[in-house]
Amino acid sequence: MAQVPAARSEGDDENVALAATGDLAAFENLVASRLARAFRTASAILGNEADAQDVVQEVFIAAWRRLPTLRDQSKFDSWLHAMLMNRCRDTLRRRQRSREINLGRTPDNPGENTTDVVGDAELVNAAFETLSTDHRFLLVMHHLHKVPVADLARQLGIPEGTAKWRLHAARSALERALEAHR
Amino acid sequence: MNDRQTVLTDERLAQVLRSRTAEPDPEMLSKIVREAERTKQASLWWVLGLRAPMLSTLGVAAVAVAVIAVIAMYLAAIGAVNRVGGPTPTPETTLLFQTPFEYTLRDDGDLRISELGEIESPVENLDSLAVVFTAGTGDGDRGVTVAQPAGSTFPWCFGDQLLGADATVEDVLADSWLGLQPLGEPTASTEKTIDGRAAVTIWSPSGRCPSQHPWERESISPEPGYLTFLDVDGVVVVVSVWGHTDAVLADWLPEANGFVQTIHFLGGRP
Repeated sequence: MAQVPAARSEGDDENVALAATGDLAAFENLVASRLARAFRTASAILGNEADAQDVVQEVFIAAWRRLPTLRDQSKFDSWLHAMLMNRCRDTLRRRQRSREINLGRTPDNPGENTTDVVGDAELVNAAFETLSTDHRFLLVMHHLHKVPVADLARQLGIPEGTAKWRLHAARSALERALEAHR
Repeated sequence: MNDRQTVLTDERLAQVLRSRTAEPDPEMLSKIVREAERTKQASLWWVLGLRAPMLSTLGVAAVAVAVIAVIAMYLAAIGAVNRVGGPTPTPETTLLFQTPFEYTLRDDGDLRISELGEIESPVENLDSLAVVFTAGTGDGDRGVTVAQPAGSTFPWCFGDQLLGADATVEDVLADSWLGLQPLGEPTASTEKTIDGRAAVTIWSPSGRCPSQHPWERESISPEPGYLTFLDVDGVVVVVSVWGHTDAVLADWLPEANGFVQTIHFLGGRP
């Protein structure tokens, strides 16, 4: 099976091992190479920078605290992703009571037909806000970070076919929600 | 509302997702490191065990006493939870195809899950999905999936038949499973119980479902696995213990079976 792509760099295994023994500098190296990507993932899922900041900070502190309990250190990134998704899920559940939908943000790269794309972006954004955390996570990982299905499956600890199927279900859910918002 | 036709291409979706992202505060890294500096790391007795040679005999004895005390307090806490009138664990509640269906995991189950890497994917939006959750080691090589095959809007691996929500375990086994050639004939079935409920386990060799749709081909057990079917108050539930290869599965089986025995179904349809 393919390795999980992303931020893994030379010396990572050693950093994980050292951080697990309380080496703060090694932990800082691990965070530094993963922070931006984790933040982009959380902010895309949550649609809110402040929430993303809280979630990412909590995840890395939890990782530091629990790192000595990680039995297979080669699975550090999968483990980190699972924690990130769980924290995003908790945040979205809490938000269901006082829903804050962050709409109207303009795309970073709107392209030629700006007006239509922005209008469509609002629709897609609103539809995206109706999705479950799992669906959001799958779409963000695959369509934003371009993680191949095989690597997604590895991160989620599920068979590749199941990941493919869930990705399809996530996309279908988004299209249904989009239809409902038209 | 908008009556324009919005075509959701991959590029359009990626563009919208990019518009939702933000870059972290430049100070965030140092904030995290400072917070970590103030946060004590967890430790486990087996971690101490790895370092045992470094400890003196007296130190080992002291650690052993401390571990026994912690275990005793833990067991006392479990006893308190399990006593009538004690605090009740909050169950995970899901809605499977308009069928109220609840499950929880006993205290030792929660512990096992944290060791396994937590429940990876409890499903929240179940209008078209049948997987309740998948737990595993997080590497995609092995896992436990709990799902409801009957009544699914997906045909699963059951010969492209859509089983009704009222299907029984016998229906699933006799009408669908046993006739499913692409997955191969079950080579063995055994009777067991999960959560005190009668269950039938079938060995499933590696295979593919006959569906024409790629996302339906590998649902419950595309890889070697044991499928256990049981009736939860009128709802057929399948628990799949799967591994990437026969060897991985064999290695995984004892731990996975231990985990499965911690599942407690709170009830099916009313």
